[in-house]
Amino acid sequence: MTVEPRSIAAKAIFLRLFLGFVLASLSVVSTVLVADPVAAAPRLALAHSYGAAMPTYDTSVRFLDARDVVQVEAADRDATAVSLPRQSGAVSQRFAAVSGFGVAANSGSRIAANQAAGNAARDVLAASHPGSLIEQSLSTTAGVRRLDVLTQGGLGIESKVGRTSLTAATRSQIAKDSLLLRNGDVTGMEWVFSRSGVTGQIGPTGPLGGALGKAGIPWSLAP
Amino acid sequence: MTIEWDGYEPYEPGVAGPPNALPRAEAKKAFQRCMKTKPARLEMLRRLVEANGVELGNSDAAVQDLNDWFFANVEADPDQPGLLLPDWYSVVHDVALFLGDMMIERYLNLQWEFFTWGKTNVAFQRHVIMGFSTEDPKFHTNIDIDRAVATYAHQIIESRGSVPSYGSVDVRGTAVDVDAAAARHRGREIETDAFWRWLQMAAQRA
Repeated sequence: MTVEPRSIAAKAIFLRLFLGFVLASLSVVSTVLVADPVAAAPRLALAHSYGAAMPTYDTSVRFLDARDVVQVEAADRDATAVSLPRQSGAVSQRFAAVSGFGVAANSGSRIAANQAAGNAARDVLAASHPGSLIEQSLSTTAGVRRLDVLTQGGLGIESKVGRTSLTAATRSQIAKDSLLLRNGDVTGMEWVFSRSGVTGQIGPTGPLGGALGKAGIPWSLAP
Repeated sequence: MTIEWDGYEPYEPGVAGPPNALPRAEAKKAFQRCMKTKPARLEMLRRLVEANGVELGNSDAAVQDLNDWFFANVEADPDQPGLLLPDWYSVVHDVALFLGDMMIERYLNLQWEFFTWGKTNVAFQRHVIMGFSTEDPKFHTNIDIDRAVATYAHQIIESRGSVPSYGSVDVRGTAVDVDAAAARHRGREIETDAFWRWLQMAAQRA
């Protein structure tokens, strides 16, 4: 039996081409698995669910991906902090300054990242109890009472400018304040009177002062 | 006084801001998470207080024991006057859930609600107790027990010298010196049976 040299050469060429194709395909697949963002999505989701607490043994590709997520989260929080309602006191600034995720993730320390995530969560809880709220309302059985100031210690403040009389409106406010005090929605109430820049007058009329006294609501004149 | 934390893990609200500042969908998720994690949080609270010699129970006496423990131990943040140490905000959350559940357990018409009536309402998008049969539902009256416990905690630390600085705030173009007003109300005796009294109040309104 004779073997034709041309046939052997053709088979060898075909075999080399086939092996080359297989190796090239494997290379492409592995590149996609490592670098493609879609393929990396489950890893990003996991990083997110752990508050971006990245293990220190991760590859650089994963680490960079996680930091991207962290930066987006930090930007989201900044946006939220800007949209907070009017309030004063330390908590708002503290909440606005929350950036623990990013710092910790960059350090690459899992413990530090967990600590930062925990601190951020607790700052959110703390921010739910801000120093003082301005022009917020409370529900009563006599309707909504809009308070000028409500401190974190539960003191409600009503601000009045100029000479103020006992009218249907102020009578209603006093009635609602009494309900708030009775139900423990506020721990105290105070009406603060400021001098009017127009009339130069200040303070409650006799009947209003009497009604406040009867309701157990102290009042003061702003200096 | 030193607290035995016994592996206490602070509550993770799962959101990036206070409820009233969140979009509705996110705030609703936070509420659902709060309700879903309630059994775990109550267990965490039970472990914490038991590690400190207090049994978490439903009787008035047990509630007073919890109140006494809270009153004696709640801590101010030494670096931020007027604020609690961060972990205590989580304890406040847990205690409020416990007291709210007790109100519901005693009066079945009461329930936890996600409060959505009025963006300027202090309870907006927070978890509150509602369903009082003695009150007209159209007024959406509620007990914001979480705020009540936090207010109580702030009062306690303030009485011990951790005084917040509010400054002056602008109300319709007029400066109101909040610090001065708060100072006039400082020094009042803080009730030592607030938890029990809140339960009594819920009973009257239920």
